[in-house]
Amino acid sequence: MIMLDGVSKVYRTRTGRKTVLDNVSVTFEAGHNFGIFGVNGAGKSTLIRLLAGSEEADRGVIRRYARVSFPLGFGGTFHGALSGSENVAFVARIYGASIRQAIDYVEAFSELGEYFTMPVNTYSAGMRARLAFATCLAIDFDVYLIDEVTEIGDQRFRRKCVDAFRERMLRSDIILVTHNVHTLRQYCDRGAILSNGQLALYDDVATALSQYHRLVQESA
Amino acid sequence: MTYAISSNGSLLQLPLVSTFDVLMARGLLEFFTDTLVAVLLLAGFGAVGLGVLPHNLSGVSASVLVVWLFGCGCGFINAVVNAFSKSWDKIWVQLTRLLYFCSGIFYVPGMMPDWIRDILAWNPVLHAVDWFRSSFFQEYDPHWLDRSYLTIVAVLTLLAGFGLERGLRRRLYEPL
Repeated sequence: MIMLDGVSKVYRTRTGRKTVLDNVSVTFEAGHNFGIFGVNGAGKSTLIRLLAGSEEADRGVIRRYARVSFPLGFGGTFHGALSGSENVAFVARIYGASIRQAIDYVEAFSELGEYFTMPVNTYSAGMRARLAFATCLAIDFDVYLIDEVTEIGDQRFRRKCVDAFRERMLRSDIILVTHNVHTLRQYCDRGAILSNGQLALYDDVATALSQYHRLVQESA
Repeated sequence: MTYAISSNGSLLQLPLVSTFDVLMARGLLEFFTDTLVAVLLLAGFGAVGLGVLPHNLSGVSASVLVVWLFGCGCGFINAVVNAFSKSWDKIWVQLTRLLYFCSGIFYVPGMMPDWIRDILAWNPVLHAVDWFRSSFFQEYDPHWLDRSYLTIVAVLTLLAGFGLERGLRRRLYEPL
């Protein structure tokens, strides 16, 4: 369970201040998988980083009654000068997981081959995403935060990710940002809409989706 | 340490890694690297028969430790300033060059006219160099050396650096 209590977040851009959350109090209950919708630039990635704790809120408190993952996104959480396996060892160490097991798991899952022992700088975007995905799965989190990285690799690898997550979702929850409606329906049973600094939660994905379409049409 | 935040941007995405961690880690890394280099250099001198053992090892250690604290303080401040003003590192290089020149490494303060030394004694680096020197060589006993001045400056700098980092932590790096 993740509770937001009076959370505000504003960030400054060249063009001015942008409000992502304005005094938001919601609860992401345990046992449910949330899909987060929002138009481009609404701050979905910022929200994910706030939930993870990678960024601090300007006001308010975020309480995590669960082991929450690092944000799994295209940004990457790896040090470019270190190899894939060294990065996995680092992440496993700071999360208190077994380093040996994590490395073995990621090596097998990511299918990076000899690249696994080469610096992450030399990876393609897809290889980084595979490494991040596998590393996240290698550690047992209660809640996985995923930011638009479900479409990685080829058909077969994607299938493997879906299967792995399906299996993991028996005991863990996910909070997912994606523009792909099909992916959302596949993973999520609840929806959330982020717009104009407000975060609204919905008990089912269909309601959230129809609300979201209405919102997009209004703003268009 | 100035670049610790920008060069570790991706690691900062991990919630468990904060800007304080990467700065402190870089500070420790610099400490161990420089200590190792110093020991290797001195061992090299020793190997060719030069006297390399300090007469007061605890004094040497204390001076190195205080200088390191001072350096960490400067590092924290620089990292914060550099996050807001991208050319600060260039200015800092020039500033430190000035401080080095005025720290009595080329001209021993004992050979300076009193009025110049009185001015240069405001430079904490000068006290750092002379503290180290006086612990290394027994016959070197500078009366202008003020260990507490350097210590106070180091502690204040470190507190200022910690305070700046804590206060501005949210704005120190742009998310990727």
